[in-house]
Amino acid sequence: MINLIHLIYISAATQVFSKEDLVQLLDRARANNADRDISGMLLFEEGSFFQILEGPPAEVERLYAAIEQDSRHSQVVTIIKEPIVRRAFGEWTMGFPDVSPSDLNEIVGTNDFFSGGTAFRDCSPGRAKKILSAFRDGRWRSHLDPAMQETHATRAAFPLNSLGLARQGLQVAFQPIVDMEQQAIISYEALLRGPNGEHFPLLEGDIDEADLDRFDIECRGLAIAAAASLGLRVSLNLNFVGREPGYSRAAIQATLDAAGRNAIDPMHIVLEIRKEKVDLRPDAFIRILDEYRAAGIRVSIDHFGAGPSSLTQLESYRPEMISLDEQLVRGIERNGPRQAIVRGLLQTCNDLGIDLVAKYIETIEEFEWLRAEGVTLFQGNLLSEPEVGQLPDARIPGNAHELTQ
Amino acid sequence: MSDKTREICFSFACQPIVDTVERRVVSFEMLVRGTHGEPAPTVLKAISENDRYIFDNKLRERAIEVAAQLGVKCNLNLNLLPGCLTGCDDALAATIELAKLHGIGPERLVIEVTETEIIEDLSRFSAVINEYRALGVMVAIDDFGSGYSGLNLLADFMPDSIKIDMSLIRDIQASGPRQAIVRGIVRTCGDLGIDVVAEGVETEQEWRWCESEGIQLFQGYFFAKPGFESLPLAFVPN
Ligand SMILES: Cc1cc2nc3c(=O)[nH]c(=O)nc-3n(C[C@H](O)[C@H](O)[C@H](O)COP(=O)(O)O)c2cc1C
Repeated sequence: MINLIHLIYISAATQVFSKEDLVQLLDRARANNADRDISGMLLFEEGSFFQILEGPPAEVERLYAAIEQDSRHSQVVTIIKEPIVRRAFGEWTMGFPDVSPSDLNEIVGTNDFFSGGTAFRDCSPGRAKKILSAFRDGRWRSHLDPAMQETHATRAAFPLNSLGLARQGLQVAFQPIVDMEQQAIISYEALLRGPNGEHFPLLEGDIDEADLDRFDIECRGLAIAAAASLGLRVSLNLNFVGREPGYSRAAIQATLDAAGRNAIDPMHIVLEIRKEKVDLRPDAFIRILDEYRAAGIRVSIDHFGAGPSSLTQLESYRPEMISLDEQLVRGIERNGPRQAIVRGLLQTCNDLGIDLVAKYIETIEEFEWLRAEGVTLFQGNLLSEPEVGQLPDARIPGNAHELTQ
Repeated sequence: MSDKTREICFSFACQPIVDTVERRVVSFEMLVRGTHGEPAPTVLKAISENDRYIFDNKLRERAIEVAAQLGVKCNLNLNLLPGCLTGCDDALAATIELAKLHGIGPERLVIEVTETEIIEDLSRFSAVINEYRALGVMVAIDDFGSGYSGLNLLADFMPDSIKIDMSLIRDIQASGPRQAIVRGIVRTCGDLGIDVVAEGVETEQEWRWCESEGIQLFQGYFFAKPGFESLPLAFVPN
């Protein structure tokens, strides 16, 4: 059940907006939005509108249909429409940054909101805020009509559920994902390991087709329980078999149940998907992803840039996160094409509020090149090797600094 | 070739690729049609699987003949199934020879392949195609962005141009995600010196958005529909 969505768009004013015009627009908007359970914010800057609408899907869509027809603006560009768990702008029937309408004079430029004011810091993190940051940084504006503009196993010691897997001796290793901007570990990726900590290259056929569903669910349960017992305080990236059954309703429920039993907030779970394993039709697949999302679970496309991951999936699956394929980062400091590809991807992801993780980082040169280009999220043996039975610390490359979660 | 395949009759339509900054037609893509202008699938579905590659060569040869008869002065975009090359190394050699006979040098030939097709046997494909590139033949990746990610592909095999899939162009002026994706592609290709063609442009807004992002090569109904056995004029607004 999807209860809440947000929709973000930009547009260009078709007329000069005076203070009064804006106040009038806002008054109407606020009154209507309160009745319809819609919150959000509206920015107006040099002829561009940027609006975030949050609320029940039907209400948001109805309103957006009306707004699109409004002749006071044109070139309405939808940036994103997707389910969300909670509102980023809950208190605002239609915030007009941080200031009362009587101060409109000062806010037309919105500077207050972004720099001096606290409103920006106070809005809940999430994609809406990221896209808002991209807007602040000047993105999404250039197209407005210029005329209107001015395996190292320490054996597992965690309590396991009575799962078949644990009985078979399967274990979970964890590898941190580091955010260089926050200088913090933001998540651990759970990796399946054999009884002796060996890599577990699960091959098709290792497990009966009929058991895949159960296997996938058990893997997730195992990882969630292990992480919880180790005192996970950050997010958890789950990346297992990823076969179609893992995307079934039962799997969604089982994942949520496992999270509930172990007191892990679903908002802390990131599901890493690999499309090639999924036989569902795209629209059916997207519906399932949206159900995960409605429960707060985020979606990441793994191995982006390789195999069947395609650019159009950034639009159709709307991932919160992607991680670069190993081939793209290997030796990137000396490989022009890889550099150009990653630069383009970074730009696309920044514009769309998608987190980009540079995975498989093994050398300081790879790390430094990517860091200089603006990549903030890193994972790889250079920072920390996966460990069984613990949530390992991470080293900041080129620096003696160690990070714990 | 089976008798059934041998009996298939076909011809070609030509659709211009325009440079809207320089305001000129840079190439014609040769699109297969039935002898009365029927759409491509009516011809292609008649081919038996075993004959696909041989037939593909035949298609290119006929395309060259049609283009030569029509007096094409600019480049020619010809489609290729990469399997043709890996199955038979000199598949393109015949195409090139025939083109020369008609006064069309290899440097005027642009071979179009799709990313999904290339990736099947990438190393072999690039080895063979690079020999032809040494003769001046150019390579374009068709339907870029839609199928397999063409990204890694660009690292391992650098084409002369890419044609952005029409699903990404459709209504781009109103779709934030498509805009962000296309901007990323333009940036990558700009850094790599790969030409970008926006395919399937149907409206002025689509064109204007792309042009403002620095794309200057276009193909689509907005400029010209494919002309059956003719070279249609392209329309480029001011
Ligand atoms: C940039 C822009 C943003 C708008 N935002 C809202 C909004 O958040 N809520 C709203 O009810 N109307 C909004 N409107 C106005 C709607 O287009 C429409 O005029 C209004 O919903 C009609 O309200 P009424 O049925 O009460 O007259 C906006 C218009 C523009 C131009």
